[in-house]
Amino acid sequence: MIGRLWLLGVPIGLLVAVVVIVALRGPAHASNSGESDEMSVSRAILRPGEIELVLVNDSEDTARVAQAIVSDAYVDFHATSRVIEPNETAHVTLLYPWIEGESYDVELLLSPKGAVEYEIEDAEAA
Amino acid sequence: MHSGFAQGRTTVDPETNGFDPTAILRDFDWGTTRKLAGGKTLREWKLVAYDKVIEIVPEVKFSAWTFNGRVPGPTLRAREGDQLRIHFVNAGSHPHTIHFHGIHPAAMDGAPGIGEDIGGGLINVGEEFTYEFDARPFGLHPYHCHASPLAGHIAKGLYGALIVDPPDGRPKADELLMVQNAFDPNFDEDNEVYAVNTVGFHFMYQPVQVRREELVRIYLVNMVELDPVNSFHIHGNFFHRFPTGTSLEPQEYTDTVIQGQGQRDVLEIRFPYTGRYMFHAHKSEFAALGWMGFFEVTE
Repeated sequence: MIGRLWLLGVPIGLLVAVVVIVALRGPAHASNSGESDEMSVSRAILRPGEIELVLVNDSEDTARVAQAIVSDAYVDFHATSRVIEPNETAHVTLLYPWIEGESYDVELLLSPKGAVEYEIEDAEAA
Repeated sequence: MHSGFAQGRTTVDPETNGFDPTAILRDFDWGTTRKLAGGKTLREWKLVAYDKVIEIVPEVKFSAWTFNGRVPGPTLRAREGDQLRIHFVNAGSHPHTIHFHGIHPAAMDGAPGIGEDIGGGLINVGEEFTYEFDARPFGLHPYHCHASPLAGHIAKGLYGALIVDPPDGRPKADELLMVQNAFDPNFDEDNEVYAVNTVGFHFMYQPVQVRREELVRIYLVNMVELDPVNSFHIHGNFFHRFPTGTSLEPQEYTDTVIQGQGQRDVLEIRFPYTGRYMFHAHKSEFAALGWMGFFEVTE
């Protein structure tokens, strides 16, 4: 009986550990991937010399795009709006001389904190 | 605006952080000083660890842990043989220590579990401890928190430099402290901002001002976490390199120096021509993520 109770304690312990870890980390302001249900890049449109990202804010908070990084380098960008209200979408255009067929890691740093990452594989003009 | 630079405002307003990367270059703190019986010089400082949100590139904030509200912490300066007394107050939110590189008794090492019988070791929140030791050897030495997890406590900003001058000093020069550091504001175990004296790209927009033919001495320390090596490269010139600053004879004449974590060098250089000369990490990724700047040489 004692052995079986011990077995029951393992999944409960794991569940408690997960809850504690989630509680300590706090609510995610933005995800580190493009698959977040809070802030995400829904798609990228590539044109010569620029990468346009469609940024969707599905979180409950207003977000502001502070900086943009493409493959470990800061790049200039402009946006339809750098401030994105909940349930709104913005188009963020990065000025970057991408090369057809190559892959890029894109990271948008948010203000005051958080980031959204997006991966472009096999770059191809829209 | 060129691609590869930060977007928006060119740098961070020093009012925002309460410190200025340019001012830190030449801000050497000799402490409160008095002569002891026998002629020895006693130098005293107070270092307070506390939490502070800082801006590391325009609009990007970082929840730092600081010594005296700045990153890097105060640049402590002494002469070899001086007696040093550093009063440490932990006003932060986690236990901390100050571990000084140099030669000193074990109880003054700022390592958890060592020296606890006299109140040292790990200093809990709200507690204080005084580190006391002689300044030796002469050279350039980092200090940093040694609490666990070590990388995390250093990456949060708890570090600075201790410069110990040789007994007879070094030749007169325009002296600069450059602490290479980096930050991971979204905690993905990958730094997003690299810098000298904390703010990425700062010296691109506010070049380091130096004079033609004047001797410039750079105290260069690498405190970057999460990356095993860093580097310093200068354009259009060469420098003499004194590893750790512990010898008065240069070991190398070069334009690039590689540093591992905690490594440091004293570099001496003269600019024969006026103009703007870039300096940056020759790890190009670090340069493109903020670790680049200019020297501006004038008559």
